[in-house]
Amino acid sequence: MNSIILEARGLTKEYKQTIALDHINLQIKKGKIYGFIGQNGAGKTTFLRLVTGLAFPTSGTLALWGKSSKEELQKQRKRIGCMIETPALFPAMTAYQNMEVQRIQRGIPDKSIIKRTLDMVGLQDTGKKSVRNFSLGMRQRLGIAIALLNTPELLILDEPINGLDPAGIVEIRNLLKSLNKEYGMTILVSSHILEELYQTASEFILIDHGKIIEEISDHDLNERCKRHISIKTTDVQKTVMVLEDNLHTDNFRLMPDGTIRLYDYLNDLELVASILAESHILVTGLSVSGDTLEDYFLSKIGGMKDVKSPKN
Amino acid sequence: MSNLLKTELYKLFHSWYFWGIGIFNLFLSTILLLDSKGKSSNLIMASLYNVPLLYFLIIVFIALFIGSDLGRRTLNTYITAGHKRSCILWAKVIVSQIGCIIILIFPLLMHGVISQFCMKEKFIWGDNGYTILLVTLLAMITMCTLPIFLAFIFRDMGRTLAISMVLFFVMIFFMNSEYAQTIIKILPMGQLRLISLQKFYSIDFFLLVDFLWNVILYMVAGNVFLHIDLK
Repeated sequence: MNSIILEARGLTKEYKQTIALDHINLQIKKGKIYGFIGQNGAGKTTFLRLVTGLAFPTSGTLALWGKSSKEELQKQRKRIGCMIETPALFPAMTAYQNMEVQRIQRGIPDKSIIKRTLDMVGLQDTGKKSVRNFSLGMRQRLGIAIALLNTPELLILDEPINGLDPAGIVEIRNLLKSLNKEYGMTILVSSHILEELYQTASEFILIDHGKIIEEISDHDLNERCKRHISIKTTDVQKTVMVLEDNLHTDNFRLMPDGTIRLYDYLNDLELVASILAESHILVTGLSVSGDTLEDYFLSKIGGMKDVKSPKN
Repeated sequence: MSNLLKTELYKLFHSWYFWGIGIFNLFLSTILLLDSKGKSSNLIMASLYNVPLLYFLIIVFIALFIGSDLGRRTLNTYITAGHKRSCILWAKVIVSQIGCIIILIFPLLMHGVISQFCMKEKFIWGDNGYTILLVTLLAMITMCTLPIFLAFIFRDMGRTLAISMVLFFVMIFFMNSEYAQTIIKILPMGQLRLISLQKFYSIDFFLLVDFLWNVILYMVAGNVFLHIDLK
């Protein structure tokens, strides 16, 4: 029970003519990275705004670390760090001054935490440059730094990699993973870039039209998407032996067309290729196949109903 | 609450517009003395005479200090950090009022010093000097309450600025209309004008009206801010 840090029961948010969240039941457990997936207007940000206290639910209950009264929820929010939508920054101030504002309001006595956090997100050299002159990616990094300032137990990030360049995306991914590993930080991150989420999160929450349509772990998702390395060779028997003897795996299937589906080493295609080559096997095809998270999500919400294929 | 006050003061003193508006207010107030000097008994009262005209600078300051803070969602970080909305409201109101009073009083002090030491003017407060000071201060605070109230209602810099400016011109219009005698006593900027002309009428009435303005406007602003969904 103690491992549940956020629990929503029947959480509903109605606006004048729309239901943004429709009786959401959800549990966020300690120490995991959750990917929050949904289309625009699915209710992701509304849910995050309810959790962070920016909006009030129409009905249902929300509990943080087991506390659900209004006053207790308020206190528990001190344990959260968040960035909802775009980073909230003072454009005329420097990165350091923006962080100082947050340090004072959170009552953190240690000033050196600012430099450490800016280092963490790669903004240590911005000096006296005001935030209005920052690129979109730099603002995003600063928003993340602000969310991390109090070393939160629950980190909520809404579209954190918007505007980041590829190197920045990898940096932020590694940062989130290391925060999760080193500090046991629970992370709830929403993103439209599903491939990126796939590489970061260990649990996925799929939301559509204000309803949770599925909660699934990365393990189960891999099973369902059946991600595998598809191997085509001229000598199937020998390939099977090499997989068993050299790669020490029996997690593969031999398909009727002679293709071998290997379910291990998904992120190590080069190793598989080199071992097959060392064993003098002629590889005629080697690729990672299977549904992507994007395909899976689209299949769950009923596909791209209104989008015609370019071939048609 | 103390953390919020410290943060707001940090933001106030690190904002370019606080210093910019403050200096511009001193400059403009000094220029306007050329016109108002002949209408009042001494330089400090001539300076006070101009305060209602300089109200538009307070409107700009509040639009920037509160309106943009709400519009840019920087104020939301207090809520997500677990502060009570009521504490956020009061911290913002207190520091905004401090900013407004500093902006408005600085020229008065400067002109007061010049009046006393350079022009050797004598200012006679009379028996109720402290009461007049209190009424002046309360009228200034009440005058600044209106844009603060509008900033919390509209939570946006543009609308706070536009609607406050419209109301400013409406008040100026009424103070020059056939109802001026009545209107001038119930509007804080009118009260300041009367004080500068040393027409004190009923001090108790001024205090009561200003108190009611503050109570009503902050009750409505508080009620809205405590229960509204923020962007």
